Amino acid sequence: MGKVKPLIFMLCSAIVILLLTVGFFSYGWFINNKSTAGDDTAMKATDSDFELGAFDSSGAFDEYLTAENGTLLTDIKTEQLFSKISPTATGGGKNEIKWLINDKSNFNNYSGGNAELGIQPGSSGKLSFYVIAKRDMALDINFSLDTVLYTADAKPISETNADNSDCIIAADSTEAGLVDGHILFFLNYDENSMLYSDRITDGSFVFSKPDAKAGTAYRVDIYWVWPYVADQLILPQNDGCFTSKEYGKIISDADTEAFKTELVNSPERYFADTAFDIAAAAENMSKGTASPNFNMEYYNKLNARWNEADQLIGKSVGFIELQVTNVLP
Amino acid sequence: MKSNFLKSNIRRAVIAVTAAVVMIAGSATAYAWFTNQRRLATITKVNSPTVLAIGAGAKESSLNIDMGGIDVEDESGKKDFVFSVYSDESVEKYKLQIAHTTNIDFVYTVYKAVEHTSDPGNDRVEYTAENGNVYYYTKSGGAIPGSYLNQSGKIADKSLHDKSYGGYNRVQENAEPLYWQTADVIQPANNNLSGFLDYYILEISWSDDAVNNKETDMVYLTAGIA
Repeated sequence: MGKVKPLIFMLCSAIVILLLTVGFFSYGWFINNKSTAGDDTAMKATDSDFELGAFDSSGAFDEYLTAENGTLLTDIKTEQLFSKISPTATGGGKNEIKWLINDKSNFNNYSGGNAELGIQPGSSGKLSFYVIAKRDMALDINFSLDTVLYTADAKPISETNADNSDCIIAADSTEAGLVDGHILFFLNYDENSMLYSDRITDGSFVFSKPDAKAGTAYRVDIYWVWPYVADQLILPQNDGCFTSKEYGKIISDADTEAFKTELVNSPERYFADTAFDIAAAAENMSKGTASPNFNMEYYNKLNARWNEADQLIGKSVGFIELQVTNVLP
Repeated sequence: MKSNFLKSNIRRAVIAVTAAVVMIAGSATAYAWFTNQRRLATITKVNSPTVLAIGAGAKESSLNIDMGGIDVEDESGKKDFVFSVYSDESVEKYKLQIAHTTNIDFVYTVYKAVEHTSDPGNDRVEYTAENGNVYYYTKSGGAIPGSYLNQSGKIADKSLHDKSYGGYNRVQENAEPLYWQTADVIQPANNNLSGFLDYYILEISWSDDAVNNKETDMVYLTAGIA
């Protein structure tokens, strides 16, 4: 009898696990089967809370992506009164899809009109996507914003080229580090002051909507900038140097203080050659070109190193893929 | 003996079923995990930062621009030098700039130039390439419009002094550089995806008052994306 007890215990454990498994399968079935009936409350325990989508057209380089085309949804309500959109979204078993773009939301990959294609120092823009709530609830989503870099050898996906994995530039490479520091992403932009704020420094951000409504699409904007020169991040906003230039400061002087610390703490994200006194150069530059202590040697050294990094990115990186992914708890 | 055999088999069966159930449960968990992940992906091209270069004739290194040995006794009253502005990338527009000291009373004038592989005759500038080939350049059109940013008479005023020297004020007046730049942006000729190549002639002229007195001047040619 003593030897039978463990067997009964193991058998009961297996049955419990089996029941849990059935539960998981049911959960997966509910997520993927859009014909499942039920009101908002009934779906609460089993359905995905949201889908991600964007609208208009394919990007100019989408043929290089392995992500599939999303599902077209029509006449989805937005936060704006009477405004509806028809996004192409995740769902229906499609969890990774191509991020559609338009003339206001793109990564310089919009083919419409005479738009410039591709990015380089001086490029900037906005990318928008929508979080489409599937039931009335408080949405609180952690997103991960990631870049995948490819060499210029990457080719369109085809029968003979299943993916461009052999062209991926390692995430721990010098170039990848420099891309993190030179192609910047922000959550806010003030059109009046032309300043960006809330930089996404660690590749993550949070979307919160306490009173999300079922079937409503909520827009999320991400601003991207590849500064033309380091001046735009370090010199004072009102520096006379900007008066004769076609570019200006892109972050506030207050944010420059934090940026100077970031330059010192993570120099490999900003300079290919870090063998100079970055702290002193940045500090001197931030006082402005009109400062009696302004040191042209520091200025030239920091800018030259910054430009070298831009050149290295341009020479090494052929394509940059941007992914936005919800982080599971 | 038989009873022990049966028990042993039952134990094995239960263990096998339990292991299978655990594996299935694990897969199902992973499945549920992945079905909750949503991702959008977009991709764009990275363009190389535009690089403008200044060279000598025949698109050779700027080291070959030799502006030494100007003889102001030359009755022509001028000497021409060819230089090029080029890029291996497409450039929409750029500006030309000249900075020079004012020790000698020279006048600097820039013209667009056309390259010839055979001698076109008079008024051409000759350039001998490193491989010995000779190229000829003639002016195309009138002088390129431009103006000095800090001129006062024949020397520089103090408006850009701080940009050059900071707070240092013991600078001889002729050592203070004059800065000249083109009035309009220049659109490269024959610009395409593989870049462009523009030639220019810098004419340095002088008046009858000029004398050979071993003075020297420094001249900087720069081209920048506009």
